[in-house]
Amino acid sequence: MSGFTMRFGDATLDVGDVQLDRQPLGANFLAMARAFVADTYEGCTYHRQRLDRAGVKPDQVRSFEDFERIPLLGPSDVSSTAEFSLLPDRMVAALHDGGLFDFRPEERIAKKFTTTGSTGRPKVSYYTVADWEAGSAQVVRMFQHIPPANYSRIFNCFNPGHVGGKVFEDTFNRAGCTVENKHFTLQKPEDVIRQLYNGIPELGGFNGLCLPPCLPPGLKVGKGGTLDELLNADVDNYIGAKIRVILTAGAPRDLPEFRLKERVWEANELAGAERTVFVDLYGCAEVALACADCQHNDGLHLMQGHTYTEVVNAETGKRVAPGERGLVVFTGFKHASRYLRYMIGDEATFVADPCRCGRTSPRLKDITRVMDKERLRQGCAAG
Amino acid sequence: MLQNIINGEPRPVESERDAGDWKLPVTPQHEAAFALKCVRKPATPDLRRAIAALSAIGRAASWISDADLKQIAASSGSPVKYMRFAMARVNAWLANVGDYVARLGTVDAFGALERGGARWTGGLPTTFILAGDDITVAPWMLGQAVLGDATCLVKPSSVEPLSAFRFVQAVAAAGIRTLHLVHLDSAAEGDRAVIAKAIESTEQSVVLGEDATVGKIYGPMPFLANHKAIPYWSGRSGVVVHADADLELAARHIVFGATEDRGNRCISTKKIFAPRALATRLEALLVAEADRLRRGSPLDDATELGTLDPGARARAESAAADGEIVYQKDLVIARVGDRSPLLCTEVPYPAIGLRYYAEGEDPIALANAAVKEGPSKKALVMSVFTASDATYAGAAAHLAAYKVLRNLPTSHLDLTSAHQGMHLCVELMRGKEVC
Repeated sequence: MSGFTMRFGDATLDVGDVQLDRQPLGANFLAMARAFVADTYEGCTYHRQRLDRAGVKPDQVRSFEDFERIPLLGPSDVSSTAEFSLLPDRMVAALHDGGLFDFRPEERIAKKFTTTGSTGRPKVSYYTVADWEAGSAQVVRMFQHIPPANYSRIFNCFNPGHVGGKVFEDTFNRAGCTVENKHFTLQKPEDVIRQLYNGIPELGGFNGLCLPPCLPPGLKVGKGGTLDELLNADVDNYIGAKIRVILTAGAPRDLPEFRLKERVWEANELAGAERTVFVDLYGCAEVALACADCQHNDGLHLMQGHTYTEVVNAETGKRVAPGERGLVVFTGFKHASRYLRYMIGDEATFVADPCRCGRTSPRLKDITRVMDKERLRQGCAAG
Repeated sequence: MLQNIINGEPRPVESERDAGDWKLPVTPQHEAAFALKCVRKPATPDLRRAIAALSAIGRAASWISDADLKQIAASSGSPVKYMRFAMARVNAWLANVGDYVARLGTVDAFGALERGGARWTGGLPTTFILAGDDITVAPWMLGQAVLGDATCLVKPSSVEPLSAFRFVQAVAAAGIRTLHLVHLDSAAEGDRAVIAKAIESTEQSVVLGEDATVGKIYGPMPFLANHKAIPYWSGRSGVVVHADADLELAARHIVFGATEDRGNRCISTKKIFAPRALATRLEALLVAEADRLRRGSPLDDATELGTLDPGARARAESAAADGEIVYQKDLVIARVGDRSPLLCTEVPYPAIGLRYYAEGEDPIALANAAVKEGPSKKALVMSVFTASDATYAGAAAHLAAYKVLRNLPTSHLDLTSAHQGMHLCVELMRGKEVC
């Protein structure tokens, strides 16, 4: 996947380039951000009007500090507007005219995600084929510290309709892995674990798992078979013996009452196997997966590339200093739905200290939901 | 502090619950799940290793301290004198466990048991549900599990959890990591589900308890064709006194068998079938023996009958309600009819149903009728008091019982004999013909 080139205007960026995690964001990235703002201003009436109301013109955005002048987009803003508002006008017109048949293949819609409409007006996000490819390249970049052979045979437990069900299947298949999804009829952990036990025996079974870590207390709707449930059902210790990599997303992984990493490592020890590597991914269906932890599991690195993640002061909209807490704000460099400085509704501590893994990208720690909490409890939000 | 012990290691306690005098760890679901992983991990059975470990534990005789025994005595009411006696017996059995195994077969060069022309090996995933507060149960039963090389999820009794904890500690310290002790509350729905899952996930289970307790565990389970259930039922043990019996001996053993360790064991004497013609003399002797018992604090070295459970007393009184009371200071003795609960069921209390038989009635038939509605349709132990070899032989041949003793208390503690017709360690193994 390395080498996928994202384009806006004349700006290009190799989303799979691991140097993005090892160097300060440079001119190339700034050029991409500026090109995206200009393209969005020019092509999307909704955002043009917002920027005009804020008195921000694209050509005034010359630095990352200038980028902070762009008004924040909140969950309530998105919920109160029509689902096509965030799309470029050209795309909306084509959809009204019957479809995107005259668009180049990479410009056509690849995926559409909606958050739960049952608890309010759903948030909708479209991805073009190019957007989807860029998102996949970024996810693979998150696995840069792991030999691909260690996650070459993946069992994906996210519900097929959930963003995780689709993104991990497509991403890892395109990266060269085999991916088997949890069968859509299976609800009980004992049945899911049986599918895991029986999968691809010719290749020695699975070695990677993609799944939500747990169903946190208070949440009512799961996103698939969780690691917590599977560990409890896994009486034959398949996970401890065979699973080398576990990708989690969609809920906090390190809640102390679940002890998930410790339980897996204990299962590894029982099986006489090496410790399983964990990768926790963070982002949202509206933008993409934007952050991931490294082998040290000490905060989530901002994976700047297909996304640009900031932690900002809620009052000023400016980025907080290292060590401070602020709102997590995503910008997705997508050609379809434009989420520009979008507040997902979480608060986090911004950490700029160098990580032992060698990446210099900042990290997020202690992420907590501060907005839209009811939707999180009732539906399948935050993931 | 009582803890779970899994894979040989004590586990941190996240929260506790009160269980009488004990504080027991609350076991999270994931902890039980880890124990099940350990239980199902393939094992390499070796009877030689098991014998060596158990022998060392028995010889050292230090796996449970006198302070522990006093703590259990204070909690249960059982006299510490009995505790010490019982532990000495258990430790002797452990120390000489090689001799015990030698009676069952020959240990071959690969650690298997050669017996009856077959080679027996263990290592099977097993669920072990302990119950009650008989202090010999945990070390003896779990010792059998170690001999059978069974990899066990062990639920200790919530009434007396210390002996199981100490024994599993000792076994782990001896390098045997096949017993995984997990405290579960069978009154809690979640823990009952864990027990059910454990039984479904293992190849065999051993469940001890009163019949109702055993029924509650196995009753809701689906039929598991490849699972071997080994229930240990209520004992319904009793005595048949023949006309030629030494009545003084019989009365002494009856009262001893009924009251030792509070009469709450499966081998406690619960009923007597005696000739009507001997009634007056037998009752006088029973009352004299009962009055002779040394009552007192369970912690007093001389005490023979310690503190009794008021709840169990109420059950005993209820069971004796239709009878004619012979004695009721603490031990309850009542003349009863054939359908009396004192004859047909079991009360965990020193209580005896006394059924006199007339000339022409067959006491063996009466004794057998009293157990025919129980789940096993047998008494665990019947003791026959007679001077006649022929009478004893006839009784032994026809009594519906797993064990028949002669002129001994039913509570006679012989850990080398079969229990409920089984040597558990062999039951926990599987044999194969080697031709």
